[in-house]
Amino acid sequence: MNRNTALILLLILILVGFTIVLWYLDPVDRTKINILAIIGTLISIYGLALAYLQIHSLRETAEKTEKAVNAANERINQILSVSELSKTIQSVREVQNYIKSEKYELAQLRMKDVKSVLIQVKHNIELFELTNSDEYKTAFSDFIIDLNNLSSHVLTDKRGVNFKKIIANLESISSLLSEFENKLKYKRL
Amino acid sequence: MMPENYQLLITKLTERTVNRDALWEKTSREEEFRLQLNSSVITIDKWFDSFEGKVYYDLAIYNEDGHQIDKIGCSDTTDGYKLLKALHSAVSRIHYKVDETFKSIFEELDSANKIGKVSPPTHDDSDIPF
Repeated sequence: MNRNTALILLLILILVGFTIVLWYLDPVDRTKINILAIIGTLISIYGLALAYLQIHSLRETAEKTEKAVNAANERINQILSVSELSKTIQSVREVQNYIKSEKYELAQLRMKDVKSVLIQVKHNIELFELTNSDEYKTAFSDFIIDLNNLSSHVLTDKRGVNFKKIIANLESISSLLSEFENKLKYKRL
Repeated sequence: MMPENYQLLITKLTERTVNRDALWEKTSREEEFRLQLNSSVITIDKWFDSFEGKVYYDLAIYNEDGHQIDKIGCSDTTDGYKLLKALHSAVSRIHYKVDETFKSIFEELDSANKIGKVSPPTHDDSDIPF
C-alpha cells in the first residue's frame, strides 16, 4: 500500500468514524462546541497519521539512497580491481620477458609488485571462493618461493634456479588472474 | 643448538614423509621441495656453497600471506645437519621414486624373461632407397 492510498483510506475511516460518533451522540450533546471538539480530535489523529507516514517515507528514501551509494562504491572498487588485475597480468608478462633475457634484478622488482597484488586479491570478498581454492594457494606459494629463489640468485651465491619452471609457474598465475578479472568484470550487481 | 620445536618439527615431517603421508612437490630450485599445508608452506632445500665448499640444508616456513616467518640453514659443521639431511633425503627418495625403481629393477632381473629393449632398426642414410 502506497502513501496516498493509506491517506485516502484514513480519511474515509475518519469520516465514517465521525458519522458513527454523531449517530450515537445524544441529541442534547450535539452542540457546536462538541462537534468542533470531535472534528478537532479527528483532524489531530489525521495529522499524527500523516506525520508518521512522512517520517516512514523519509526513512525509506534514506535507506534506498544508502543502498544506491553502497552499490556505486562497490562498482567503483570492482572497476579499480579489474584495472589493477589487468596491470598485474601485464607485469607478469614483463617478468617472464625479463627472465628470458636474463634481467633478473628487474624481474625481481616487478615480481615484488605482483606479490602485493596477489596478497590484496586474497582479501577481496568477491574473489574469496577462487582465492580459497587449492589451485590458487599452490600457485601463490609457488610464486612466493620463486621470488625468494630469484632474490637469492640475485643477492647471494645460491645458484641452481630452474628459470623455465619459474616462467611456467608465472603462466599459471597469469591464467588465474585472468579468471579473477573476468569474474569481476562480468559480475552483475 | 637447534631449538627443540624445530627438532620436533623436522622429526615429525620426516616420519610423515617416510610413511608417504606428506605430499612434497619440487620447486624452481634443483633440490628444493615444498609442502603445502592449510595455512602455511614448508620448504626444504639442499644446495652447495661454492665459496665455502660446503653443502647446506635449509628449512623455511612461510605463512598464508607468503611471508617467510622463519628459516634455518645447516652445514655439516652445525647442529641439526643430520636431521635436515635425513628429511631431505626422505623427500628426495619419495619424489624420485627411488625405492619403487629399485624394486622394479630387481623384479625384472629376477624374472625368467629377457630384459632390455632395443630400438627398431632405422634406414641407413647412406643407402639410397631408389
